[in-house]
Amino acid sequence: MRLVSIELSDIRRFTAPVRIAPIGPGLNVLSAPNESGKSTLFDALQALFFQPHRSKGKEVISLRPHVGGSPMVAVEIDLPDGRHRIEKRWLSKPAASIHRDGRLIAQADEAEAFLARLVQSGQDSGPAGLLWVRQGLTRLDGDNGRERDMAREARRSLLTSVTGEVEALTGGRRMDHAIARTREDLGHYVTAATGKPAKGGPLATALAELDALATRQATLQATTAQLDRALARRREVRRLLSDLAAPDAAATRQSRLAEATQRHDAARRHADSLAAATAALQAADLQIATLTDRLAALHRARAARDSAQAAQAGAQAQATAARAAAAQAEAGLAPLRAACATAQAARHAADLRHTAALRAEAARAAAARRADLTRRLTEARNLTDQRTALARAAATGPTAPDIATLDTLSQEVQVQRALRDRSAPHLTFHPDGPARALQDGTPIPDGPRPIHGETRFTLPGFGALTVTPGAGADHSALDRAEAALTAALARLGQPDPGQARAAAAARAEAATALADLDRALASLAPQGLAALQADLETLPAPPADHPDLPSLADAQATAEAAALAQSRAEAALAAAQQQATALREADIRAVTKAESAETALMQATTALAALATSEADLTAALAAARTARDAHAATLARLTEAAPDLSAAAAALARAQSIVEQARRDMQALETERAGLDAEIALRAGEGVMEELADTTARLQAAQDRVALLQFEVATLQDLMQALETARNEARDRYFAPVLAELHPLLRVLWPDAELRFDGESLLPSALIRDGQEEDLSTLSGGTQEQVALLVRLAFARLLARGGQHAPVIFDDALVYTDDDRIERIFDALHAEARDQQIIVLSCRQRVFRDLGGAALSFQPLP
Amino acid sequence: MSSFRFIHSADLHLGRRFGTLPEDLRGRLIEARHDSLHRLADAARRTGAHHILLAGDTFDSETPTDPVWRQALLAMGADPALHWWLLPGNHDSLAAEALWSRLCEQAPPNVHPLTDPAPVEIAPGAVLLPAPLPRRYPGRDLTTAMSSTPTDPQAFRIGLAHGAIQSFSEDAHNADAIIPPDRAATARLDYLALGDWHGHLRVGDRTWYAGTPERDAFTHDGRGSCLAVTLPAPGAPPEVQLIPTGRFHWSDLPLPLIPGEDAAAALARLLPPDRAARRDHLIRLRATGRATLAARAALEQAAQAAQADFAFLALDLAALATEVEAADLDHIDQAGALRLAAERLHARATDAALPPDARRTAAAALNRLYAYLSEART
Repeated sequence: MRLVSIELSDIRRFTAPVRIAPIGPGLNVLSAPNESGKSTLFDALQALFFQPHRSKGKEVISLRPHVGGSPMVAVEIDLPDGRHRIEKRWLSKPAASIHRDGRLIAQADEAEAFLARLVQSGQDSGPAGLLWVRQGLTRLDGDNGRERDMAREARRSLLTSVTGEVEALTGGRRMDHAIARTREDLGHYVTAATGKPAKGGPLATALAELDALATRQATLQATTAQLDRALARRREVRRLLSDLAAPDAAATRQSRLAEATQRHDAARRHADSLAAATAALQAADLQIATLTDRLAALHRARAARDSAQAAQAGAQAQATAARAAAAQAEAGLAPLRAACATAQAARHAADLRHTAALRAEAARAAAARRADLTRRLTEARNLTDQRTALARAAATGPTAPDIATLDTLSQEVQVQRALRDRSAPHLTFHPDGPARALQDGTPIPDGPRPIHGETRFTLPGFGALTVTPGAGADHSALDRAEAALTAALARLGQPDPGQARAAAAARAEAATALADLDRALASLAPQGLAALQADLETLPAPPADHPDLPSLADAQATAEAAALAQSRAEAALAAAQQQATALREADIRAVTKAESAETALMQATTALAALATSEADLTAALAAARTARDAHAATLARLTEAAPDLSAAAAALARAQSIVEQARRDMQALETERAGLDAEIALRAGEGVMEELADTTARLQAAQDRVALLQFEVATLQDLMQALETARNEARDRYFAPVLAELHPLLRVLWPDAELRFDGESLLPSALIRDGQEEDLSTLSGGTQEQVALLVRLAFARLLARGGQHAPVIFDDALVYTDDDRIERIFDALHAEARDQQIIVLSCRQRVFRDLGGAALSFQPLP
Repeated sequence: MSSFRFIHSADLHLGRRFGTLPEDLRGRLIEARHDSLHRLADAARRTGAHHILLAGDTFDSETPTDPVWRQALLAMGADPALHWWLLPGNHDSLAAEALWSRLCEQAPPNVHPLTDPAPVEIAPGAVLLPAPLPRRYPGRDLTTAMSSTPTDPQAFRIGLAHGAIQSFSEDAHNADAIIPPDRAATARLDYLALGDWHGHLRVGDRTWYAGTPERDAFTHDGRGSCLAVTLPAPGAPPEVQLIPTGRFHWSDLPLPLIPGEDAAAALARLLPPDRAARRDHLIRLRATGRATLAARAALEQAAQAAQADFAFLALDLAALATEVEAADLDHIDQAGALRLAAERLHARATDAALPPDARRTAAAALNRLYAYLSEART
């Protein structure tokens, strides 16, 4: 395919039709400044080949001018079967048509199909299409998914046309299908990332089921084993019960028990006899001891009686002597009591006289106080009388604030008057002789004279002059000031301000005198006249006169002497009374002691009387008791010697009883255990554990088989995937061989030893190898990336050309990052390729691309 | 003494759960086993027999669930005119004390658990000599006592036992408990009714395995049955009639294939033509021989297509070797990566130096590749 011409209409800035023609078979250069429409041309061509005419997508919308319109693109291309005109219009009245040599061969959808075959590669129709390199687009892949897929198909087809066996080499879509199906099926079982069973997938589910069944089997096996143990134990229990309940065994146990019981009873009876003999011996010993004690007690009572008699005699003598001493002491107390009474009477008389002396002294002090109070009361009453008049004067007349108010009002009147005078017309008389003008008969002084109202002047020698000032003057402020002053004076009851001030001075003076009087009154009667009068009245009346009273000091001395004498007398009496009391107590104690001795004597005598009568009997009984004890001792010795072993008999009996009891308990326990085992076995048996175990075991085996099958399936799929990918990768290496062969000399233009590595999936270069170093394409500089893109496009174009199917290569400002040195070498490469290849270069770098050469293209307006 | 007629059956295995089969099929199989009781009763009534001898393994385990054994008793007791004689087998031996004590306690009057090896006169002039299994593996021949058990010389002597008569027993543990094939003769039995072998088998004129009335595995082909036995006179040979009782038909079918054979057609020929009956048919197909990739894929597709007709249909391809032809590889691709992958897989599948598992995996991978590409082609 070779482009011959291009027409644009209603495409962005080209609202008027333009044409680019002729486009030569080799290198063509459209070098124009920015915004001149190069990229628009590029986009329009892409839309022509890739956007259906009914599309209203953003790519189409972006072509429409701002003023609106229906974008239209038409190209002429040469194909092997002739020249074709392809025309397409979008949006309003969309249309697509194909003319060959002037004859319509397809339109609408058929035209689109023709274009699809042209730009995509059908499996049989062979490749075509344009090889694009966009402005600043360094990626070799398309912008969107559709464009990317189409580009990939174009590349695949491109190589097919060249080699004729790419599909066969790579497997093509069938290989894709096989790999996709393998991956899809494998994905059901394992994850692509880890190869582990996919969650929720058949393998994971089967493994989980396997685990669950294994667990369940173990549980059931345990339960089954438990059931087996229960069955075995129940058999054992039954056997034990049978042994225990056997008639021979039971009879033997009972016979042994009866024999042991008999032996034990005999031993117990002998033990009872032995105990009785021992008790009798102990009783005899006790009786001997009792009799011996009673005899000793008799002897002790007799000695006690003798001792009590001696003590009673001594105590009686002591009581008699104590009574005599007490009586004598009591007699010595009477004179002392009399002396004490005398001293008490003397002291009482002295105290009375001392009290009377004290009262007389107080009466004298009260008389002096009364005189003072009487004087102060009189003076205070006089001052009180004066205070009434002063108080009245101090409350009469204007106060200081009243005077201040009057002063203010007076000043306002004067100010208003001065203002009135200033604003009033003034009349000044200038006599030229001695005569003076008169007003109301009074000569008028010199100087200007204000005229406030109609005024009549008498002018001697002239007559009279009446001056009327007119009604323009405003005296209301003065009137208000004068009215206020007059009202204030009336309120104070004063005729004028001067008298008001005099009255205020008199009021102040009276207030000062009143204050002085109040201070004097406060000094005389701080609590008032009534309190002063009350104090006077509370004073005692003057005492009666007692001329025989001693002085206060003498009375006090006499009283103190009488008190001392009384104290001494009372001390002597107390000492005597204390001694008498001690003697009385001694008397009482002696009497009590004598009485106790008497009582003890009586008791000892009584006890002796009780014992003395049985001494002979006691002696005889003691002898008889000793004889009896000897007999009991002999009996005990005989029984002891013949006694059987009671403890052994008891042990034998206990053992026989325990055997019987143990057999009973064992049987009871075994019966209980058997009942429990019956219940357990019945429960387990009813649950069908063995049945479930068999079922679970079968399921487990099935689950193991299924897991094995699934694992085999996974291994199969993994084996297949590996085989497919290995084969495809190897095929791709061969697939890229022709591309690399074409690319190799082009790469040498820029990098002498460089190679490109291609990605098997995208069929695009993925890495650049320079000097043995592999660099990922995405990490290279922008300039290097765009150079690789350009060279790869050229290589594909060479492949096409070599297959006899030329395709134009269009570069839209494809070298924006490339430096000048490499651009020169790229130009060389382009020129070299352009010998067999149509190349269209769009660039804004006019000065640089001027050196590229080739045919120059330009937009030509169409008539 | 007039003739005596009875039904001989065994190995009902009531309660078996069929855990290895699909979930939706298990219930049907379990129910069919229970229904076999009714079908045995029907067989007895049709043949005029009043006694049904079950030669062991009436229950599948020693601890069947309560519904299993109670519903079984109810079914047996439904017709009082029929007497059921139950012999403990290895699956439900006397070690299952709980089971047999309950059966003894709750069995209706016409159901007779045989827990004692003593002879029982089940009908006037007909003595049954049972050999109940005390344990799952008794380790001895329990029919030995039959030889020394005296009975009325005018009475029929019918032995009832459970176990192997040769090494093909259902359970391989009974090697020490082989029942002599001539036990009927040595014990002067008119008939020895045996259980354990799930297919009916004539051991001798007087010795038979009845087989299970409802098949439960692919071990024996066909449907279950029972035997209607008539004893004309003491000492006279018995008359044995096979009566089908099974509902489900079990088939283990070999499918031998040779390269170039139409595998799908071969399968179609093998499957039962009565499509309506397929619902109660369980088939295990074991493909053997060799088949091309295409034939193998066609066989799998045909089996998958027919699967839904049957109660169960499984195709076992483990024994089917893949015969890869040039056309098969061409079908995958004539050249290129796919052809290369296929050839490598084929090489590995036939490489004797590789482990068998690796060869199997490679062969399966090649088969799968063929199937995937067939999808793509269609």
